Amino acid sequence: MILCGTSTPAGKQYQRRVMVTMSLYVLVLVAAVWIVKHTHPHGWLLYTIAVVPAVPMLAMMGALGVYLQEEKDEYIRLITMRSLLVGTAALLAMLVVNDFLRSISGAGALPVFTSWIVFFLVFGLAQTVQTMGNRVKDDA
Amino acid sequence: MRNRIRELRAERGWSQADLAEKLEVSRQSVNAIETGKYDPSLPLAFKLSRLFGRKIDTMFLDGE
Repeated sequence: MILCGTSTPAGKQYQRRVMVTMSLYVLVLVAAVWIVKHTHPHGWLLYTIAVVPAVPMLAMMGALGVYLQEEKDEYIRLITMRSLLVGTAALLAMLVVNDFLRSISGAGALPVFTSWIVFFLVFGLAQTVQTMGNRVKDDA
Repeated sequence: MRNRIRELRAERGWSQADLAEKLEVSRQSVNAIETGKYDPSLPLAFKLSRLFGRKIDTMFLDGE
């Protein structure tokens, strides 16, 4: 799977940034859970600790924006932008369907974090499908 | 849009990778342009024009 044109310098830089933000996310999440469990903070401190794990995830979105700015290969950039649209459409579709299911049939609401998973999963899938459709078959 | 990029590249004995390197794009991009799946922007078309020493309208075939 070629995510965000890893064959280009900007793509490689994006991958590095994502690895850093994902590692930070895991560290911060584990630390936040441990602190809440063992020190029982409350008030503004509890809210602050609860929000901190979201920061690396937001940084991941920021990395995507920076990547789109840095990517010099216009075709790869187009593939990424198309894939972002497909990912966004899938996310909105999931939210709309779940909202109707919840409000009319009384089904349970999906956990909010699943939207993150659906978005990035479909985004990656859309990139893979487009990349496979343009596989380099022969060369001089 | 059809184009003559593959033909012009072959005349010079360049591989897709060679052309990609000269254009500073990925080999995927060269392949997409050659197969007509992607029409390059004007700056990239001018880059191709300079590289092959040909006018843009002799490399890209309008209306086909």
